[in-house]
Amino acid sequence: MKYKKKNRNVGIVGIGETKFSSHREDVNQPEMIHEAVRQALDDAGLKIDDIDCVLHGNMELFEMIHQPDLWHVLGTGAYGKDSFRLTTGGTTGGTLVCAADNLVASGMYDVVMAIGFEKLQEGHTTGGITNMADPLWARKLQTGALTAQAAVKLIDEFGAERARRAAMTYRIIMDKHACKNPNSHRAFGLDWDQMDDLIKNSPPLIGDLRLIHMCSQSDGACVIIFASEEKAKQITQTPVWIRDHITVHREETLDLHNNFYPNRTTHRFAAEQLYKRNGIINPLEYFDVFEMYDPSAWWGVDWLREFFLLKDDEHLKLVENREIMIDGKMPINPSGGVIAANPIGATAMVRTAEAAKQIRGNAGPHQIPRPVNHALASSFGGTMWTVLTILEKDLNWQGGDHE
Amino acid sequence: MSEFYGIKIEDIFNSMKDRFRPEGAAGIENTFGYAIKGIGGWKLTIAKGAMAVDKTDDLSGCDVVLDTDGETFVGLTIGKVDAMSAFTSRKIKVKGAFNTFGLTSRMFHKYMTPGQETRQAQEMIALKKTISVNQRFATGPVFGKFLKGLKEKKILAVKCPVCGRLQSPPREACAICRVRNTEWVEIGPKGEMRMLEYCYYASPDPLTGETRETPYGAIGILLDGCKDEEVFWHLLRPDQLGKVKMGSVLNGKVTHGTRLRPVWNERRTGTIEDIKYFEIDE
Repeated sequence: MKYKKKNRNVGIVGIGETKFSSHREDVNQPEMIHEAVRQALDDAGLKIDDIDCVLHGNMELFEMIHQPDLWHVLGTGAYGKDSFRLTTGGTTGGTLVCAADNLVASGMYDVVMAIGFEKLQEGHTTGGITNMADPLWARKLQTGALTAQAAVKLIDEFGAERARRAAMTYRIIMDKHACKNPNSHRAFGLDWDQMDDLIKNSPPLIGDLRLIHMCSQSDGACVIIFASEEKAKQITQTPVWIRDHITVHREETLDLHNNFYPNRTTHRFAAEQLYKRNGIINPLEYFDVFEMYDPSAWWGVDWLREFFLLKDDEHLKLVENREIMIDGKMPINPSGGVIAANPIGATAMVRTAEAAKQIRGNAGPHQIPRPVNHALASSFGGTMWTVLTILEKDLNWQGGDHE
Repeated sequence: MSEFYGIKIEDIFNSMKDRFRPEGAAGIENTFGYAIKGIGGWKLTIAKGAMAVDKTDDLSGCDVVLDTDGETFVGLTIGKVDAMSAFTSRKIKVKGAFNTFGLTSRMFHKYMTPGQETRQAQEMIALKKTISVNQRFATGPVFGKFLKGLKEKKILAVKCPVCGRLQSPPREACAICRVRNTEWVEIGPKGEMRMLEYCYYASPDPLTGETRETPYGAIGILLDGCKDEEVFWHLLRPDQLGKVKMGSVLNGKVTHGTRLRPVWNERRTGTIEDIKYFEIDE
């Protein structure tokens, strides 16, 4: 895979997130987006005139509005500005971050504002995802993003009892994190004594995937402002640097429905490539936080092994020993993650936004109680599509394996 | 008389007739039971665009029954309680298909306490739209050949000339090797089950509004002649959902799944539906 060193450094200088909720009937789409735009501009101390280019992204199939960026210009402030629209499924927010970084790094623009949003209550999410499937065959069979395959594999490999407890431990930890995050859509106050009850009684969606395991359908928007190194240092005392990112996707997969391990996932492939070219030998030691796009508790547990290049049951032990809690060895999603809030077009961008806030040290009640210098953020979409991003507090990393 | 949040439970049921939206109930034929702990039961019948609600403790004939306490029920009705939270904390229980209860939200206008309209500074209006689109997809010569095979009760696969992997339904090229798939082989039609997605969630198609019957099984079948990850994606005969076993390959260790065979439709038109489903091969 060819990869060139960045032309110039790019920093995150402003972040805005709306409160995530199942119902934002009090505002229409441009009004909701405007809340996050206003917040990001205020956070950066900028005015809309300071923005050179606006990126806009969501999934049209969810609200059934094509070219929504036209209507939304009232809330985005993009009128008369260079502007691009992106839509890559669940990864949309991650792709927006990659694109903004590339646009600034290239030298084409100094300050770029990226906007991810979704109002899932205004359409039908599972129907929309099902219609992403190949209409010749898969549309008849797919059930949106609902699948129990990760559960099947974990149960086959580690036994039902251990696998189910690990998934529910992960779920309860995410809820404990969500309860600290004032922006969460779902924060139940789950506790350990509910484990057995939830494993048995939460309504099943598919096989061992139960309602409690699955992410929500949320309304909300996220905005991040990116600036070149020179500008970033003028704009803020605490820029967060985008060190590198990688996007890996594969063919539209009709053969995922097997029970075959080890299989080569885009997550593991992306992680291997990204760490290698950045000279990161032990990601579990290197990173201080990981904001993962975890659409369900089962996937969350399973994917820890892929992203950290772990072996055997090392990922289960991380969960079982609660090392992934906010004060653990490797905090996963102090924000509560995707299970706590999933406005899809914004979701992947929220991972980067939350990771950046952790580095800045102003995440709020869910700030990790120790310094955060290196952060990882992931995105997931399609039948297997991965975006993985590394954020840094200081501009002091070594080159790695660049051409 | 039972009051929560200043609202009488009886008022919620008694006002149902006035709040009923016949357009929201079109095509729905169901009976819904409400068992409110310590207060009583109500039975809501929806048929032919009309409704009836009766106070009765006999909810045995209902399609679905919502079992909850008065405070939670009123909270749900006026939006003070989140349905998902109530589910999770077991404050509501549903007997029957829990998705069905979702239908009630569009059959009724929101409950308003008397005088609430005047308290609201401005009415929030939401516009409702339904999209219906006719679509026609070209299948192309490769996929078309596969669909023609189904009409003749044959399952065809393409083979990559470089890596040798089989794909069915076929793809024009091997995306990994970036070469055209030119060789065809016939696979199956029998095989073994490698993955079962036991679906309880009634998945709708937003363009047609068609909802699938639940539960159903979406399965991955390793058809005879295929190996490793070369599974075929289709459906299981619904009444055999509980009788099948998944096979697997985990770190080289093979476990065989239930043997399955296709059940062909009498009338085949070259679509996925030419195979009704797969059933146990006994």
